[in-house]
Amino acid sequence: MSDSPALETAALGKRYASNWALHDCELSIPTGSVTALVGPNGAGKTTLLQLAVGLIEPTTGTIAVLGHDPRSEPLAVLPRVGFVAQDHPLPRRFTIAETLRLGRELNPSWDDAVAERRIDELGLSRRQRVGTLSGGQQAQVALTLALAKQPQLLLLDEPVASLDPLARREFLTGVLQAVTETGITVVLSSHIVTDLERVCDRLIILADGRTQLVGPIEDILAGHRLLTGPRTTAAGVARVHEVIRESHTERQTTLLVRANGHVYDADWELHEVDLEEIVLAYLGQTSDTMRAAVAR
Amino acid sequence: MIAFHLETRSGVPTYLQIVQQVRQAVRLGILHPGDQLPTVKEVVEQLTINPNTVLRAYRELDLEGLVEGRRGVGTFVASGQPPLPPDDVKTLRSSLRRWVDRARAAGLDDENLAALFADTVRPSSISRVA
Amino acid sequence: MIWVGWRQQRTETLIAVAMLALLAAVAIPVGVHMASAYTHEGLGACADNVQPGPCNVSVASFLSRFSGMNVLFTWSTILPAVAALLFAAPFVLDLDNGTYRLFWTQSITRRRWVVTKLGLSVAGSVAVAGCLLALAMWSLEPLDHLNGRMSNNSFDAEGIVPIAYALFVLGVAVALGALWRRTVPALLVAFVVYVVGRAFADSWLRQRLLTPVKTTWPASRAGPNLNQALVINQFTSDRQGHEIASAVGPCTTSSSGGSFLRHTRQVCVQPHARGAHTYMTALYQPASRFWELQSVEFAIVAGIGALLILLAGWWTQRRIA
Repeated sequence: MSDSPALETAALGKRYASNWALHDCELSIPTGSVTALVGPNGAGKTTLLQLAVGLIEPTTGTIAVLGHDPRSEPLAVLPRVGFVAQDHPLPRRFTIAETLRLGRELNPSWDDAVAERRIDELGLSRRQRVGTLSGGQQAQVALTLALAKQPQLLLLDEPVASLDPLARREFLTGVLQAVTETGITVVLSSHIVTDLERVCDRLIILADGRTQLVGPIEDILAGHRLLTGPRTTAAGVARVHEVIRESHTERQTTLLVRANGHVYDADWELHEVDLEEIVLAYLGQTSDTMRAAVAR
Repeated sequence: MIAFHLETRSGVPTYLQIVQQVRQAVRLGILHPGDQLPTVKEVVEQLTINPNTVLRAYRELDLEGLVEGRRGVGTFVASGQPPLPPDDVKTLRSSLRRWVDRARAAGLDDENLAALFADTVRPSSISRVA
Repeated sequence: MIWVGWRQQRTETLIAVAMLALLAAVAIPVGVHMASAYTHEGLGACADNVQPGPCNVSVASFLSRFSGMNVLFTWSTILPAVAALLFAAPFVLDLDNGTYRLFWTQSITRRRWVVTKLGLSVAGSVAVAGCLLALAMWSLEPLDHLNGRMSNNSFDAEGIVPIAYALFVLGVAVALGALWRRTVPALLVAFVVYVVGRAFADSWLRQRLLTPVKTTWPASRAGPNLNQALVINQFTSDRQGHEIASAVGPCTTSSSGGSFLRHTRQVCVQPHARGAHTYMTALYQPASRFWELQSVEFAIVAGIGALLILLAGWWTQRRIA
């Protein structure tokens, strides 16, 4: 495993007309990690991934994938990066065998054995047309295309968004098996936040084109706490800690704060928070800020 | 062979759950010295979890001396870690049963009973300055 | 990449081949029959002979019997355009339905994808147009001997112009496809542009690709043989060739300029107006200029097509997805 990051950005930004789809993005994704890229629709996840693979060009800043710029050095990046675009596009009229041949013709690092084995494990017939497969099967074929060229980095854009829970589970298992076998680095974007903790070890929260939270999931979990206590003393506690989200009932306040230390108040309880709550709190924070800005 | 299960909302990190499940299995005699733990691949297949998590759990168990990894072969339960003698387990179980009966007689329902037990047993995640 | 590109236009290729085969299946038997009839009825001699007479009858009979061939190949001039649309489709579809995101992330450069896809489209379109014009030139040979090749239906079906129009339609279709990334609008508009362009070329442009020949002759004498020429205008004039509005009208069977040509405008001077000082002037492209005119029209039409194809390629390669 090399020391240089699999993906690195510096002040990366992308603008369409007057709208900044991605703004001021500073990331460093280490090799061997499985990173979740999380955020609502329109947050900039697809933009980031498309920049990484050279489909689009940055407006500002730079991006380096496995040490190379994807736009100016496509042949240094593309053979080593597997990409599955949103809705996993495939040539619908091709049979599975022809789709594999497509991969073989267009990728010098293609390993037939890997591809054939995956298709066998999936129980698919070579002669079936891709367009007649179910959503989950198509996603798996697209993943096979991405994995059989033996990439070092795998980028998945909302791979399981349109899949039923079983297909979702099977797809993620396939990805994780590849990680087990080859130590591949994975970045997968999703607007679904369940299952993140078991699958990924790093997190990037993206909203309104900006990174809200970045880091190893373990650190994030250790670094956030839920505080519950009487509403009367809430303001005081909130002053001392960085509050991500607050909610009140008549008498009780719940604060989600960035802290791992103690609360010096007998009336307040400290709880751990699970990842889904943390993510939702950060995303809610953004929309609150947006709403406040609009109200002004 | 042990089959792991995952409680996603328990607040306990995934790797720790695996560690605890192996520890418990060894203590209760479900796993014997020399038994092979599921391979990382098998656990990933079963639970759809990050292989790094499994590796971490196995590393932790290795450090404790509970298991030993044999390169190219797998991870095996170490010898020299005697499980609890079955007699001890029997004694503990019966004294626990007596405690449960006493608690019920005192008026605790099952939920309160479980809460009291969990609170006493688990390293407290509640930090309170008394 | 070549296999991939070919596989993606396999269906379209088969459709184009089927259309050609259908056309050939009709044209070849009739063509063979027509060629033998031409020889057996001695029409070769009539073709060189301008004098009316017994040839009139046999020629008229021949032409009416095989008029279907003319109609067939007039309609067939649409085939290069249809083929071009068929071969433009796979390129535009990839941009439309998002599969370009698959292809551009395999281990090839975008340029290679663009060049291969467009190259295959060009090859397919040119091949179909080429086969079509070969078939037309063989099938229409007897009719061309009699009527010449300067009329629109022959000119559009033979020579090298069909290839030019195929490239033109392909160019418009892929350029619009690269711009809009919507297949149906791009192909539809390309077809409409083709129809308009063809109409424009047929009715106006073709006649002026080269400066027309202008000949003036005394009305009492027989003029140049305009049988097989492309006559743009013919009128009574003075000696210098300036038009005199006068007694001109439709021709009867005995007229100057021959009677074999069915498709050009025939203007004749009424017998009573013929006098020593009346002249006729004709503005035309002689039959001998066939290949010259073909080349000029090819250069213009194919030139535009090629430019548009290059534009489509450049656009696609440079674009921000």
